[in-house]
Amino acid sequence: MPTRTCCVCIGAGGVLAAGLAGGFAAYLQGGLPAAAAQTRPDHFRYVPAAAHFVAFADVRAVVSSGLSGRLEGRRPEEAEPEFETRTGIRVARDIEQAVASFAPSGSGAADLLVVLSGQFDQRRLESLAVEHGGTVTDHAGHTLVSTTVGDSRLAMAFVEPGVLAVGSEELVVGAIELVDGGDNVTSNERLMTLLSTVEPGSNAWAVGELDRPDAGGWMPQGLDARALRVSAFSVGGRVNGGIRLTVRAETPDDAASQNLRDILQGFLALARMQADAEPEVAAILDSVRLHAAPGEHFVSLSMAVPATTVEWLWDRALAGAGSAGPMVPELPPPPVRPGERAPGRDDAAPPR
Amino acid sequence: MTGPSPRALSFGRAAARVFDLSLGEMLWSRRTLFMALVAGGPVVIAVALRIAASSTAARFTGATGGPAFILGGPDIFGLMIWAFYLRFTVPVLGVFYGTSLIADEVEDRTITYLFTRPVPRGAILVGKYLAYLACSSIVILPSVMVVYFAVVPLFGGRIGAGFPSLVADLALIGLGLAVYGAAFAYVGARLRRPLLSGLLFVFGWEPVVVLVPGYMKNLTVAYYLQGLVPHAAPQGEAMTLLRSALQTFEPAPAAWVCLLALAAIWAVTLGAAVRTVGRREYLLER
Repeated sequence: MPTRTCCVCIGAGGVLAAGLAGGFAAYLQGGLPAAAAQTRPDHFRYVPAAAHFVAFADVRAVVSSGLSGRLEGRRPEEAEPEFETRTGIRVARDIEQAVASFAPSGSGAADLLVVLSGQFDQRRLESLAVEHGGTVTDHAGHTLVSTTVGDSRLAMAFVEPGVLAVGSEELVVGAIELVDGGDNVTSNERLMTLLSTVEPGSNAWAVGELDRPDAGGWMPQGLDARALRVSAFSVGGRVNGGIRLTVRAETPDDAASQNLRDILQGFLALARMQADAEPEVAAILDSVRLHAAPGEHFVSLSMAVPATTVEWLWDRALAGAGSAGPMVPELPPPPVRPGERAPGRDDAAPPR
Repeated sequence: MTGPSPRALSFGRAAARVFDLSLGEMLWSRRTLFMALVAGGPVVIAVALRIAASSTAARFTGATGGPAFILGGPDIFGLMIWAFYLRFTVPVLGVFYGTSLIADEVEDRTITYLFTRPVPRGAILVGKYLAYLACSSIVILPSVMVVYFAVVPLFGGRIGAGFPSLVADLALIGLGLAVYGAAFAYVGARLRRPLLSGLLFVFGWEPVVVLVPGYMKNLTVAYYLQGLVPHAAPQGEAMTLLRSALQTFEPAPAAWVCLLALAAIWAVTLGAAVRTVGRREYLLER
């Protein structure tokens, strides 16, 4: 065989072999350029290992997507200024990432911890919290602002510059203690396994366990996962030109996954019957893919929602919110000092 | 006085000698240059996609504000494999190379020199067929590999997760080259104008016959090859939507039926080609 022919054969074979070797190595390692959704956010280190629900949003990625820009133009202009004026925070501009988690509390309910990273005016936020009844203490060199709302003790603290932890006082104190290391949610194997099932490329996702005796305290009343026999779930969403959403529900056995699939199929069939008058809803339903296979013990449902449909849903949501009242985040009212009258209280009401 | 008559080579050794001779000849032909350009098309598109993805929003929308399909890298790769390689490059390579295995020798009037060598006639075809497989693999498979690494990581795709699909796609392309090559080797050994017949088969018969309801689509290679594509291609939602929009074969047969049918087509056509070359007297035009 002539030398040049030999060289071409070796070159082509080399490209092929190198590609196959690289691909195989990546396959063994779980993927070379791993998607952002499946990497563990840095702020996981502030989330306790006992958490049974974790959610993440790459706010910057969502905001910079084309879809967000399109929705921004449809929002009423006066929706945010008050919150921004008081806190100095404009969500779209100042928040980069958000991690939310629920962990069991002693009372049987669930404690919430939200870790936000971005650009915050620390002094302004702390003084605003104090203005609204917060008490300032020092904990391990961090300023902890705590307050009582109802039966709950809430707190906020900057665990590092630009990283704000807000939530139940117990979890915020725990986050401060995790600054120097310790067992965090990354040692929770169940949640990390669930995280690996999130659709790659998702810029917002949530995973949660539902079969733990102390789990589920965060779920809305009337929604009982145990009735559906769902043991865990993962939800991944990729906000881009539209929204691509994948929901995966784990079940303890085949019968449960079969039942869940049947329920979902029935629901979809019912929705399709009613979607004739709404082409946008029909477009969503057409994109729905339901997957359940014997022996897999999970049901997954995915859908792609085009940008036009998201805009339609957004407009409807705004219309509904408009009739229900303004969509302005409300801060808790400042405490009433002795001798002062609470704002908004009826002047004609007799003093106690 | 006559010298000792040359000892005839065994079928396998003869095929290997012909393979050695034909590979270089085939690789440096103008036909290969043309095919390299064809195989380079997807590479150019993949690189362009890569550049575009790094500079623009990662989304693809339908025309005139229609529904948006959000494609991932693996979806795009699966689509490129299906549309560029399996539906175009593989059949075209099969036609161009397969029909020329014997027909070129007849046209150049050099087949006499091959047939007067002390080798089985069938070994000449088998050696040339193996050279065709090697040559077309050299042209196509590295191109697939480059496209894979350029496209799959786009829009959240993962190299490792798509690796089994890559292996399946490479195997599918190899299978397509083998079957199309064998079929057109037979056409080249049998007919006087094999290239025209081959092009009519690939671009006339196969696309048209699949639109006709009934059993006619069973008389194509593409039907069985495409039946294997859903098993190899990524299964994203956007991919499913696109595939369902472009799919012409319904319903796809089971994977084992496709494999069996392709193996049968390969064995029958290659056997028939060997038999034809072994028995036929080629008349050289003056």
